[in-house]
Amino acid sequence: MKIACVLIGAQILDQRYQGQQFYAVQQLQQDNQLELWVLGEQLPLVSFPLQHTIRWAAGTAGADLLPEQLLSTLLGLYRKSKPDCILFAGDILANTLAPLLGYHTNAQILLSVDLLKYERCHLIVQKGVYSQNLSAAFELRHPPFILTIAKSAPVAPLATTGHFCLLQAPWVQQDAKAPKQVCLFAEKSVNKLKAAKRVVIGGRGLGSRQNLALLIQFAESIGAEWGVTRPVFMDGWAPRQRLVGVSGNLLQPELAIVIAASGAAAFMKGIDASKTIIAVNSDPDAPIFHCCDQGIVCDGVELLSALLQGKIHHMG
Amino acid sequence: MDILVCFKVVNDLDDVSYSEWQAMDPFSPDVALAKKRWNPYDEAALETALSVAEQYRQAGLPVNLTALSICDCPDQLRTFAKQLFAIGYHSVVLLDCQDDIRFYPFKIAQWIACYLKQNHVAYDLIFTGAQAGVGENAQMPLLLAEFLQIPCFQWVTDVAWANGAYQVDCQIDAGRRRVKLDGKVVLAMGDATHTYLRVPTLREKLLASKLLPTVFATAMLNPDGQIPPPAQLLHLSPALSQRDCRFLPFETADLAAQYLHQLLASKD
Repeated sequence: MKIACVLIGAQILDQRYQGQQFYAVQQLQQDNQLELWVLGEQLPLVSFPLQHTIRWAAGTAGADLLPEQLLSTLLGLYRKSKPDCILFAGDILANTLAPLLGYHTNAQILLSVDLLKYERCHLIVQKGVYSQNLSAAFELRHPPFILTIAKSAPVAPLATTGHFCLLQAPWVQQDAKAPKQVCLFAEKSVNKLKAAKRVVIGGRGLGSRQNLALLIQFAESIGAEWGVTRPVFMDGWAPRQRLVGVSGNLLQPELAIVIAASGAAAFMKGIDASKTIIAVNSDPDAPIFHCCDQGIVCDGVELLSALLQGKIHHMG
Repeated sequence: MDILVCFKVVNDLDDVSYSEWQAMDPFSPDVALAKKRWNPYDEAALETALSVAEQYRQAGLPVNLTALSICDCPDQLRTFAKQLFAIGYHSVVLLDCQDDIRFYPFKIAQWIACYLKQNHVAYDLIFTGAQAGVGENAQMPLLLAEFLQIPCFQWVTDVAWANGAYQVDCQIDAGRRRVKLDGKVVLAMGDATHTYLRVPTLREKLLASKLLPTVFATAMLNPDGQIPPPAQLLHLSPALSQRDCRFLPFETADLAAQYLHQLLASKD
């Protein structure tokens, strides 16, 4: 099977994306012809440890560039190379470009896939469905296949030196639909939550914005970052940057303390990579107790008050 | 100004317990007992569309609001349709479909595009949710835009209309982007500013009580052009946790707090 992995703009220097793509390729366990399509100003600093071809379309793929403006370049690469399978990274840009490219190439498309394997001459793909409560296995029979890798997928090690053949590809800047839009600004935000070693996360069981303030106070007192579940975000108690879960931040702290959250599967995916998870919930049957290391059956707000009180005594 | 909002009514999957997921049918899990609700992203789309329509009306311009859904049992959606009429939607279209389209966004987009073309309706703004919980496909808005040959913006958080143009805020990987648009467009709502749909007053409900949705069978649609076949579902399996919870039996919140303080101090 001929596989093309795609890296665009900021993805090129983020080794996690390339590592996830390589992990997916490795799982196929057969002789694949591997290509890397790079759309950006530079080549990656690391390499696939297998013989491969790099097709490099050199151009500026900054945050202000709209996905439609990259589509023509991708279509050019597709027509030149005709791969059976195109693997995108798992960020918003890739998840936008994959269906666009799939429409124009009549491809079978699946986004946010966790696992790939090859069985009985067909590609088998696994991904989370039903709000991540179930994992679905799909068979893809009609190439081309266009896939994006889930943000939480494993990462395979890459090499600092590689054996590849470098080919230049044309950068096609414009798309017919693009000129109607004017990009006013693209704002970068720094997210401290993602890199935090300790996080305290609050769920809707906290009951109010005031009680969330207690959680924030506690988190700050122990040098932790704080996050919230989707219902708390939807109630408008916290900004989007604090949302934890499959469509928000995926965290991997040493310690995650989750207070008054039921433990919806899509949320748990966001803290699944934590070393230790301590869950606090007044309902002993809450689903979160199936997915944590230590469970405390207790009212979250009472516990937060006691924690803050204890902190004052401790400091006193 | 004609606005279309594509929405879906779903079962609240958070209502299904952990043990129920473990015992589900491996092809077609029965979640029918879980309560019905708007798909969260679609609810944001429905509310944002209303808010844009208000801005339009304030400028003295006419607005027509339509909501459209594809479902296998239009009768089950009548209460939801009534709420839409009550809060200001002019028409609700239900496309009756008996096929399994859980994992076939290409077909959903093709049907919607075909319905619009077949009925000679063109919308200036089409709102959708970014994705729905069951399929987690996240492709329909983009494919619909391609079928209609108009641009699509994903993970939209806010939309405002002023001086003849829309200002659209979207989430991007680096943070946030604001775009000014003046043509037809598909906007897929993500984690939006307006997350919940407004509640109609009793008077609004009474005024809308006689209005009925238009039901149209997808079997009557004749889409042109070939689309790829769906990915074939082999099986569904429950997501298993790798963790084994140890319950800490504290009698009071103070004792639990003491334990946590000691644990945190030991890790400092």
